[in-house]
Amino acid sequence: MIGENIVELKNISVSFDGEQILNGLNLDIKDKEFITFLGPSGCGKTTTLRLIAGFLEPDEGDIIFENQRINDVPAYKRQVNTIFQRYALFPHLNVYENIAFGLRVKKMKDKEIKEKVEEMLELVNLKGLGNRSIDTLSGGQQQRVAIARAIANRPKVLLLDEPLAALDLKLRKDMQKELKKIQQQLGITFVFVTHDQEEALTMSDRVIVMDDGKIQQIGTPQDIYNEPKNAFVADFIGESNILDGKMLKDFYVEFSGNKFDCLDKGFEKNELVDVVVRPEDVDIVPEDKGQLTGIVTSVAFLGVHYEIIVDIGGFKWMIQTTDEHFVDDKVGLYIEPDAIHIMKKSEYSGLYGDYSTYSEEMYEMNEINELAEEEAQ
Amino acid sequence: MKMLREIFISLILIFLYAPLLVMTFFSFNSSKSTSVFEGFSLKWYEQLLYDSESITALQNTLVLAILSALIATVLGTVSAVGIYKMKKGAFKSTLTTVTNIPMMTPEIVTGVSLMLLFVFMTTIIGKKEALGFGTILCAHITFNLPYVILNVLPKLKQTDVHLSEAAEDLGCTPLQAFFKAVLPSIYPGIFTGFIMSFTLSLDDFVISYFTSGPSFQTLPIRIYSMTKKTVKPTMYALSTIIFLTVLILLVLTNLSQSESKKSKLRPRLMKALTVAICVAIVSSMTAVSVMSQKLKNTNIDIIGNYSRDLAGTTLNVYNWGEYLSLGEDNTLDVNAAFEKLTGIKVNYTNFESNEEMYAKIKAGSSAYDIIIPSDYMIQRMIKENLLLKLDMEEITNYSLIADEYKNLYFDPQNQYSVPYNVGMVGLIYNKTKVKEAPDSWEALFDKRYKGDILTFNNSRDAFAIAQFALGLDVNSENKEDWNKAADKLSQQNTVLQARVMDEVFNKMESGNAAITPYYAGDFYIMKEANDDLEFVYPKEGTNIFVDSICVPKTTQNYDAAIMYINFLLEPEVALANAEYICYASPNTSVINNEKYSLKDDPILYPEETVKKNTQYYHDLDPDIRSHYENLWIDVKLNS
Amino acid sequence: MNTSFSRRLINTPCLIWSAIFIVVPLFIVLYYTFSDGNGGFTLQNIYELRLYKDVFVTSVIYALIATLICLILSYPFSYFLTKISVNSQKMTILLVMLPMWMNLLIKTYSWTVILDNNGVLNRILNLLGFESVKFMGTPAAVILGMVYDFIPYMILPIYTTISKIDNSLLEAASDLGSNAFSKLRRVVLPLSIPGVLSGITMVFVPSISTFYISQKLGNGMILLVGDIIETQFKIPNYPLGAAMSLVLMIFIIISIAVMNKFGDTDKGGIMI
Repeated sequence: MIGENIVELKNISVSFDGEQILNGLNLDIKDKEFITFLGPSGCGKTTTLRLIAGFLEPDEGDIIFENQRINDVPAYKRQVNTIFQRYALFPHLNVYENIAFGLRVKKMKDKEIKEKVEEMLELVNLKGLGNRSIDTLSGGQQQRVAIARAIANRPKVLLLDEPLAALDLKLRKDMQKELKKIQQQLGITFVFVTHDQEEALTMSDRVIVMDDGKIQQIGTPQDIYNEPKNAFVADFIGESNILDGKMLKDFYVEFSGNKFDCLDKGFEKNELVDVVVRPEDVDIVPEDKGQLTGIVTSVAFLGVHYEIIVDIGGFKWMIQTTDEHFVDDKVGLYIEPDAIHIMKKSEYSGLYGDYSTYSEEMYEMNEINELAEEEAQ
Repeated sequence: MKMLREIFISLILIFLYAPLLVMTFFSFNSSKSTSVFEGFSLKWYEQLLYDSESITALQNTLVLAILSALIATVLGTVSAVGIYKMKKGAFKSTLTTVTNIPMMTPEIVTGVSLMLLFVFMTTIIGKKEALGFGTILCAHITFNLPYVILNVLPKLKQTDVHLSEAAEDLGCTPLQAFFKAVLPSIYPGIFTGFIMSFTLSLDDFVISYFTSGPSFQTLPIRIYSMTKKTVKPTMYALSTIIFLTVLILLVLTNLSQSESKKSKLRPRLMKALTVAICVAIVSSMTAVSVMSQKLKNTNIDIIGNYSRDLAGTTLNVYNWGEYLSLGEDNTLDVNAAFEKLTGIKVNYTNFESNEEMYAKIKAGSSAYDIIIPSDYMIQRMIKENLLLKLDMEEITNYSLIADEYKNLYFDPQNQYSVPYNVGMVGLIYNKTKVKEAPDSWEALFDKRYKGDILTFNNSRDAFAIAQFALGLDVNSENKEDWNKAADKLSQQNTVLQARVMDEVFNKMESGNAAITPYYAGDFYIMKEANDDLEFVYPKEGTNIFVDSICVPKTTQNYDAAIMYINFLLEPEVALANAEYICYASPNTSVINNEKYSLKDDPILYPEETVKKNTQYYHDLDPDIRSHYENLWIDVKLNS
Repeated sequence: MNTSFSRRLINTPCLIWSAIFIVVPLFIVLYYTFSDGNGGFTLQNIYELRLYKDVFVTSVIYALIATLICLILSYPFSYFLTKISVNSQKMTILLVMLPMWMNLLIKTYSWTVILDNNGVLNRILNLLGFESVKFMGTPAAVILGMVYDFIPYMILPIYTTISKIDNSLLEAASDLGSNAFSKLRRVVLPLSIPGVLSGITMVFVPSISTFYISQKLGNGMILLVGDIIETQFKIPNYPLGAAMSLVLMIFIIISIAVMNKFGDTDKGGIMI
């Protein structure tokens, strides 16, 4: 179903006021795929989206759309539509007129517009709300109007700039499903931007993890989760314990003062590497049966499982388990070979993956800070 | 608390409306006074029908205010968008500051500098007529501009930056996006900018004064130029009509908005009513101006010869305010009669002082054809080569001028000027407040009348009083003499109530002051409202002045100007003017006319002994001039 | 998309207009300031200004007092106004604006009728058994004239900013234990600063350069810097008049710049 390249970015660089935002970015987006840019704020994901939309010109590089260079094509001539972060609905127009906006610009006949708008209203479940003014709508309804407005124009590519960021959790989950459904119904390319990794993983055909103006990894959600390319990706996607290790030989690695079997190969002998162990892949066993031993320093109940922090020789591991443990318990850890993922050392090594400062509160605060930063942009 | 709130709000509103109520009240006064109420009358409203000058001025004011506000709004909005989109930096902040400058400049500076600019620009283009509707419009747009930007810019900043992107995204060109997405959200700011511009433009007189030409006079300029004479109650009547009209319109608009939720019929009705009223205003204004043309009394018998060869041309006349009979009380409308006779269109505008008139002529800003300066100013203008020699042979009625007003010092050969009015300064006093009838200028320094004494609020006239009192020459070239006079004036500071020009009418009529110097003819206007007033020429002698008709070098229609001068000398025209202005006429046909109500009036036409004891002002050396002006500022500063 | 080009294009009308009608006249003022009247350069005009130091100070004081009174009256007025029904608010604001459309000269003239020794106000005082008071010619009358003429320019921006304050902020303040007064002091006041600043500018600037008000209500006995500038342009002594204007303008620009340092005027200037 996914077809040829529809958008190609070739060697794109962008800078504002001397600050490099994008640095030699290369990317192909395929027709009809759902592709997501994932990364922390300031990583360049929104900038990339604006390049495709035509609100920005790259300093260097080419933007190709259906094999045509479109650097000089203004936004209004591109067959691309955008859903803005805070929707940018026109406050002076009602729901109907907002959706009809693009059609009126195209000078479509009133009758056709009416048909089209009704169709869109039905698609986004807003039937009968055409006469409402924008400020009487709830956040979710505004979101739907924004979607209807953008797809009424039948774009070949729909760009979505963190469209769900302002919605509450429940609504966000519903909209995720709905967006995916709409994408499949319409059969057009969705380019989605988010900093929420869960959102990225559930919706996308492919995920692009970005940081610092560069693409860190491109792949299917499974690839990204299971085979992170570096410590940044590993940490950003899900929870990870990232440890310094040494590849003694193929399929054999040393970390945390112990030697483990693993499934990775192709490294130099004794090459220093980053080792990733997902918290859910660690089994807690009695102290004497573990490959590693440590002391539980904190326990949090999250419903489905417990999240506990275990101190092993000064390095704090996060472990998810369904069994209850208590602080100061001595426990043993057991790690299956397929739970160990080896990565080459990178600029990100040593920056992530230690839970020594971790607490529930910190996590939430980071989330809030991140949102606030996004708002500020 | 709630009561307190409402009381406070009401008090402020009463404060705001107090002068407007006074204005409304006195517009119904039966006498000419704006301070003594003598009975209810609608005569000033009736007078408006004859006052086509004021109606035209009002129309001009409205057209100017609407047009300048509209253009300023468009230009200001575009500028605000431009400034908003500009990258932060020195250029942006410079541009913002520059556009704000007109807001921070004293009006008179803006006025004069713009006038000089316009004159300079027209010299480059090579046109003669510098000032006109175009220039005053540009000036108004300029001072309105910052207010529009100031109102639009914050709205732009509040607008979601993505709105215009969203519109472009949906297929609008950037221009379409601006009109469809951005404009509607900044509309309140634009509207406010428009209203503010309209308001400021409506009320401006200083900048308008300097940048307007002979073809365009606004209402504020017209009112301001009444400074030498009194502000007419017709202005009160006109203001009252404007006030009530606007009030009704505001109430209606408000009703049509606020009721909209309850019923659908009422707002429509209100809107229809509002539109109907607007249409009614426009049509009634047109009707009044058409009617006032017809009502005008233009019937006279003439003795001179007037051709219609110049029919269709225009003549720009620049005169003191209230210094020509314009048809009030069904008297002769001089300009209308001239237009009817010759077919020449008269553009009639007013000035407030010799100096302001001089500034405009000197700048070469406008092609005025007729000006009426006073003696000393004529002397200066001849000296500076600003006046044209007149062909007296052509002005057949010149023979009517009394010999004593020919060959005067400022125009010894009778080449440049034709006397129009003669006046003398005397003492006006209230006999109930001044125990013994004064006969000397010293009465103005008398401590017994402390706080009840008025004097001129213009330097030359004020100095003359001290100079006569001290027996000095009013034209002394000796700075010491001026210093002495200044000392004398400083002594006056402690006993003085006020320095006045047109305010003298109110103060004397209502008995607010006991004694004042003023121009003889104006005494009768005050006497009409207050019978306790008396007049005397002080024994030390006094100033006599002649205001004469001249033609500036910049004239574009010399032949019409000559015809107009001749027309002003026509016996019936001169009589109508003498009756209206109340100053002494130099025209023998008036002086000897039995029908002249002021014939042989002892105040306007005093005996020879008084007349011999008078001095004309002469044009003084610029050095002396700035010397005494500085002394004048010092005297005022010490009061 | 050629953004930089269209950006420049949109600025052209403003640039051309400001250059011709604002910058060139400014240079004319500059030229006269340093001109000896015969085309030569001189600093004499600036030097002569020292004689008018006192007038300058008086004018600043008058303008400051007038601005302060406007502020003291306008703030509670605007605040109280936001408490009454929306329809009454609209009507009242229209009533505040209406006098602005009446001729300034006529209004000032009417004030002389009210304030004169035998004027309306003194007659009322006499009826109530009080002695007559001399109003005209006093600094108070001049300041009253300034307050009267310019107070709408203070009320409108302040009212606009206060009425825009989100009601939930006030509720939040009550929720956190503020009484009416501390709500005003801690929430309303800080949030209305932009309106106050633009109000101050719009009252202070015309007050400091007026001459008509001081002439009429000051009985010609009170001289402000505006009067002197007017006199200089009438004499005409353009160089001295220009020098004075220049100093006045620089003073105004500096004081506004200093004032704006205290508040973010980006949001200021909003009226209605």
